[in-house]
Amino acid sequence: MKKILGIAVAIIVGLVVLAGYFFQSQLSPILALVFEWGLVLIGVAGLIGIGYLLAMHMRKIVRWEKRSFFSIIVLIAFLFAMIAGILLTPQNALYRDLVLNVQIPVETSLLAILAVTLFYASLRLIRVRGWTPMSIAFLASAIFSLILDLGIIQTGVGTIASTVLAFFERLPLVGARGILLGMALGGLVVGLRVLLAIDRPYGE
Amino acid sequence: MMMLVLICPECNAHNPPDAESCQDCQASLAGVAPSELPDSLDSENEDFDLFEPEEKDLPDLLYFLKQDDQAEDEESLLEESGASQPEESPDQPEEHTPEWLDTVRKRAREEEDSAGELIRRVSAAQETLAGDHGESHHEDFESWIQKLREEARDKAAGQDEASEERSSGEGEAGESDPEWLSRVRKAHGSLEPPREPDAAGRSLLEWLVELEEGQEENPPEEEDGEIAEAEVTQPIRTHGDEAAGDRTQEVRTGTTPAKETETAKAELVTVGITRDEHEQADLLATTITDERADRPTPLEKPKTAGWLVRAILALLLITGMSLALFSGSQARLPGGQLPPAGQALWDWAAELLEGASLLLVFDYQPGYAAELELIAAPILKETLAKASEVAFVSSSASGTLLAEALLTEVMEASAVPKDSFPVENWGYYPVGAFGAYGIASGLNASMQLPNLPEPTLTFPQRDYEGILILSDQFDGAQAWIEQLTVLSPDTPVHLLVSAQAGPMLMPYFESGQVSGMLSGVGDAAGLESVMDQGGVVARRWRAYQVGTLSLVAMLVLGVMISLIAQPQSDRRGEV
Repeated sequence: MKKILGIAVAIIVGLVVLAGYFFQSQLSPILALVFEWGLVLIGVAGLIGIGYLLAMHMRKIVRWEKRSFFSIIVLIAFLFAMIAGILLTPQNALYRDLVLNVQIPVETSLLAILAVTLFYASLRLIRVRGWTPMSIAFLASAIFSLILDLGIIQTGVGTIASTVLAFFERLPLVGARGILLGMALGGLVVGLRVLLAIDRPYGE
Repeated sequence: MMMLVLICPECNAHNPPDAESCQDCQASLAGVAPSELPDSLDSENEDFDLFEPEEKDLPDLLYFLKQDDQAEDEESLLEESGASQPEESPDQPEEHTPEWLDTVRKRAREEEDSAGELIRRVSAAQETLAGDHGESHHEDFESWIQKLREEARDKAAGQDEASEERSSGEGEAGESDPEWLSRVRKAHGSLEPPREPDAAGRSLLEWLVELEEGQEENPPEEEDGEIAEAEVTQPIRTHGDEAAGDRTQEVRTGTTPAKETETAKAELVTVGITRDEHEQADLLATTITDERADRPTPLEKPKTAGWLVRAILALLLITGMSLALFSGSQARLPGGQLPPAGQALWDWAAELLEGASLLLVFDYQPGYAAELELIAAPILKETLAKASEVAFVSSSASGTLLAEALLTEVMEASAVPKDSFPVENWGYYPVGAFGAYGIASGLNASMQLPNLPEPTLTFPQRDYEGILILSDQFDGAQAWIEQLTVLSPDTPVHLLVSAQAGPMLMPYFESGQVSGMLSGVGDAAGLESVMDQGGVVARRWRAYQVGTLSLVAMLVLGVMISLIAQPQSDRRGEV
């Protein structure tokens, strides 16, 4: 019964939202209600997530498990950011600098690590797959795109070289469009599968 | 006879020498050297099994006695039928007769004294059987055994006295055995009758009879584990197919008596050899053979200081980037012209009229702040100088902070007074959670916490002169573009996006939904080149080039190392 109820709610809400794009005037009040419910649920889920995170770190500290020191740092940073945000407000320059001067370097470092990880993954691809046409094409396109992005290669206006260069510069665009088409088709299929209860991401 | 097999390194299964993969676990046998093994495991079984398969339940001696008896039966039948049969030479051994038994028989025939009690009894039994031949033909071996048993029982009744004497002195128990039997035991390590204190008067024949009838299932245990002759007796119990019955065979193997020692006492060691143990013994023998076989020796990996290589690479990269960033020199920016999308954006900013109102959308994470500031700063400098009203919204959690930081930086850099025009914060739109519908329809505030940005606001539908979307990802920019172009179809929408989002969003420019776009540091450098103003981008462009070229160099280097290392790893399987 519980299972059927979940499936029924998911299908009804999905169909109502889908119909709202075609019958906006008739379904607009219902859609607004559904979206606000969704926002409330997302907010509650966020609070539950924060509470769970805090409880987990506090448990680690109480039990003095391995790497509890980092849990202490997490809790101190969380409490400091929350209290300072409430007291100083996000419009305050000090609060803004305090948050951004920590957040920007940390996230940038993560992106740098991501770049190195992708670089290493591309090397492993060559080592594991060997010299296949796909691996060669991947390697050549990666190196060529990186060099092309530096702006080192310059051509005259209206020359054949400029045409060739423009062709290569459009290759990422071609790939991006292919990705977009794939994403659109994938999203359509996933939506249909959820509506038809083939996939039940809301739980069994 | 040895045979070559390939032993699977995973499951130790034996495979034909030409097999490429294991027949059991399908593991690859490439590089596995063939090993020499005995032709079959049956040959190894002979080491543990003293009997032929058909003799599993019959000791050798009884078997050959039976063979002799059958041969005599056949002879008598042939004589009765009158067929001429060549007389069998006594010296010629039978097909299955062991050598030691032939020796015993031969000496028994040649030397009358050499025939001990055993042979005399056997001969007497044979004569008895021969006497009864004409009447019963002795078709069943069991009847013969029965007769022997009755005779032995009668004898045992008259040997009580001798039995007492033997039980009184254990050391004298073996003295009743004839010398020839000891020699036979020495030479062949063959069968020996059990010695039981309570059956001291029993002869070998009695034991054989009982053994044949299955009464001798358990090996006799010596009291206190002592044997008079200090003779190590090793009963070997072999269990055949237990399902077929409890066929237990006991074989007593007499070994050479120990030298004269005062405490020369033998232990009765019972070795129970089951089929599983037999298989384990086979496996042990196979393992020993396998260990002795030639095996590919893995070449020792050269101890490469991987961490040292990584540390050197990281040091070189950091040093190069730092020098490029902090040297103060400005790189030569790529000249030429901006891409059409970038040129369109720059043209719009340059032609923006004084007193314009702008809407800025901040949809990027702090990690992309440096890149997007490089792209947006020149455009914002140009436009804010002419703006009379600016509003911004954000769809990232840190959007408000990032917006205020960027606007403050640009105003300070362009010497625009902060209070020269109002900057309105229209709040945070949770595009990721709420989707595009929230932008289009607007939200109604139901709850607002003090000192926090209002999470729900009605979307500002005004007549802006331009909308600038700063985004680092495709999804957020897509939602904003599709809703804003519907809500304000006459307002030009421009994109200032990261390099990763640029190619994905280019179709919006080509379709006309977006009026202009700048993406990535490359476009920022091109814009600064067009503006002919050496500045922030020129200084960072050098570091960008160094980082990108380092990445390309490491990629090429890594591929070359892979090319070199690949043949070496292939050669590791060689001996």
